[in-house]
Amino acid sequence: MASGLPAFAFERATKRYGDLLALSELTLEVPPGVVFALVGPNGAGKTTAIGLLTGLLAPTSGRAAVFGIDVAEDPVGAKRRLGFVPDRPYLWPRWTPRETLRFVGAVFGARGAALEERIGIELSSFGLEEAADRTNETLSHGTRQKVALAQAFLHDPSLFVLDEPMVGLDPLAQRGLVERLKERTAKGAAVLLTTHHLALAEEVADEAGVLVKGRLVARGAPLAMSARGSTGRLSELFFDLAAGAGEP
Amino acid sequence: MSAGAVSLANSFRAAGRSLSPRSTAEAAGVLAVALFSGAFMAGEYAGLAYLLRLGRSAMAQLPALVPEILLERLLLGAFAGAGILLLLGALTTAVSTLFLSEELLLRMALPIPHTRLLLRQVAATIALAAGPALLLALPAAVLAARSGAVGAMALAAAFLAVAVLAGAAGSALALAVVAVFPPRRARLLAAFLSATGLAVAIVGARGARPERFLDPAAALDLLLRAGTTPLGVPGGNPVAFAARAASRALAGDATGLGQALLLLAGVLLLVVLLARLLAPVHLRLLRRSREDSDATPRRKALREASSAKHELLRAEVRTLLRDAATPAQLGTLAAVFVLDLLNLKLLPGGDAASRDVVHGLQSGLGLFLVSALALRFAYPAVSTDGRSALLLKSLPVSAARHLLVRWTVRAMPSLAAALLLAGASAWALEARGFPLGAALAVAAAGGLAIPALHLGLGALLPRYDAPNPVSVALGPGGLVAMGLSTLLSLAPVLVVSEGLRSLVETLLDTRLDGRALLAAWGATTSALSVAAMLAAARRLPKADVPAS
Repeated sequence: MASGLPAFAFERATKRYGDLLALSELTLEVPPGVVFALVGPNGAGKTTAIGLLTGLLAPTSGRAAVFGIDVAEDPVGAKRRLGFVPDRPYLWPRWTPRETLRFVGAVFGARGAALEERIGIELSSFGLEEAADRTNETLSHGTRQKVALAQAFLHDPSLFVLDEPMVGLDPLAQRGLVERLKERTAKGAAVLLTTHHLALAEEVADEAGVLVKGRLVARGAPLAMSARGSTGRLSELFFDLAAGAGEP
Repeated sequence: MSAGAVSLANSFRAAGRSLSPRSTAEAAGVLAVALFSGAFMAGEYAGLAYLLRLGRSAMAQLPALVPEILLERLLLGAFAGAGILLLLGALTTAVSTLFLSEELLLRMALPIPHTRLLLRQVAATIALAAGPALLLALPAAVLAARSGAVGAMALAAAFLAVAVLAGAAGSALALAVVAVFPPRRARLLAAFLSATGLAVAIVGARGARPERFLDPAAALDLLLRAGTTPLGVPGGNPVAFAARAASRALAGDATGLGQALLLLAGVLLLVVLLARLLAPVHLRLLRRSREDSDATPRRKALREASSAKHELLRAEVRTLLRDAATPAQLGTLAAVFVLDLLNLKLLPGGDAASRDVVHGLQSGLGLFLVSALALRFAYPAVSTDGRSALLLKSLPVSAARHLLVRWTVRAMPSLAAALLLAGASAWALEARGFPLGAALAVAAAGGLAIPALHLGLGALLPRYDAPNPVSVALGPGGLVAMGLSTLLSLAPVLVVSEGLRSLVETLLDTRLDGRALLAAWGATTSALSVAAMLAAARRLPKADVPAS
């Protein structure tokens, strides 16, 4: 891991879709080894922020960077550090999970027996052995989500960008994912995750930010933030902030 | 293995899996397609070999002909025609592969340079658009190989160069179209442009009156001009260059192979350079198109429907109009329509008896067109609900009423086409009295009943998992629907044409009354259609909809 550099950073990042302001001057720096949860109501700009960080979208102004690499200037360099799980588990429908992982591993430079061994480990970690050689189109939503997670973990990224990673996962798989993320952050990786599960954000995140209508309206450790809510829960603070931002 | 090799291997395995049957019915289908393709290619090979023998014997009798000139001219025509078709096909394909493919989004999130990503998608476009044409060209290459490997290789390289060039041009054109319109609308426009371009080409070819070459003197004159007038220097025209290189190699000149390979290498290099140049443009357009899809929908809010029935009606119209293939297929229909009227106008005047026979045949053709339209627009109506059929089933909507609403909307294109064609044919053929009335009655009844028959059969044998409306009908149900409606299209020929009716009376030694035939046909067609709709209305509420 590059020392001294934030794992990811937004500098006055703004994104407009025509007249719609999806993200407004987002400024945020998160160091390695931290799980950062971005929460907010639907349409708050969470997926847009992730789009800027993964190079799927270009900022209208400002910048997004991964370990100091400007995503707009060197998208390939930035993506080499990323493990990304989109909000919907897009997968090649006619490929199998094993073929999917083999391709993603090869893109990240892994080859031969080492890659096959690593694929076996990831398939086993996510309980995908049975599904490994069935086509993705025949898998349930939850199983496809596990495949998407397995491909993100495959190359030991320095930064995980996970858009709603728990959707479709059973409680056992959710627990397994939380443990694996903690294990990876202990080794210095950072995690940016968006979620609507506020309890999960409280449990897994070292830091959280509340995004409402494209603006970061609160940031801090979940517990400290919870204390600001009337009932001492993050959800209460979330409801207060979301309602406050909606008022004229 | 490199990532590219892994991707290619995965794609080949996926294609193999798609072709490997999972049930006896699928196995029979795959076998039938394989046998048909094999027979078609064998037939094409035999036909080409026959034409070659015929050509050689003609050459022996016409010493003035220069084979190299004739061959080059033929190849130039074939390459130019294939190039135009491939360009039109690639345009529609490219809008999908370059902007709407989910696979592209998957790859975009990976550390792959965008130029390589664009090149891969352009290659996929070329493979998808040119694949069938390359298969069609295979028998020609095999035939050429009989006279020597050099000629066959040159022919293959020259054709491949034309295909790659056309595919790349189609891809570049797709970027230009998406620069102006959002991808989904651009795909509709591209499909419409492709169909219209093809239609103009067909109508143009027909307008050139090729039947005049049935006159031996005119045909000989054309042949002598085509086989003795040398073609100009190809210059910068790659298609002419490809034709010259291939014809030279086929004539035994080895430099032709070198030229064909040089052309292919040049075209490939051009595609790589073009991809480097256009990669930033593509990335910008792709991001913009994603932003368009993320932004608030800008469709106009309609006024609230006055009843559930009106809402269903509106929903059905919406589904039909937003079907990506509809404009292209309506464009093709318009072309067939124009072509048919052109044929009628170009027919020799003839007497009343021959016009009567043509009028009868036109009625049958009109209903056959209605059958094709119904197969496309009515048969898939229930299946295209896809998984939303689950939601629909949970709503308090009567299946019978919904089927009626679907029929009201889906029968409109068929009814309009049938009446227009019947009216135009009757006008062009100066039909009067009973034949005119019968033709219009047949068109109206067929235009309404045949879509109902297709709709009912399509609902009885739904395919909710079909990827698009066209593939819904590619099954036993579609075959039954098309077979039945084709049979129903035949009888009106005897209703409308007195001459053909008399012929059948003589052959069967019986008396056929036009009015009685019309009534019997109308009753049979209506009974079949009503039965199909009733059976569907009974079955739909009880049938399972697959959840995944």
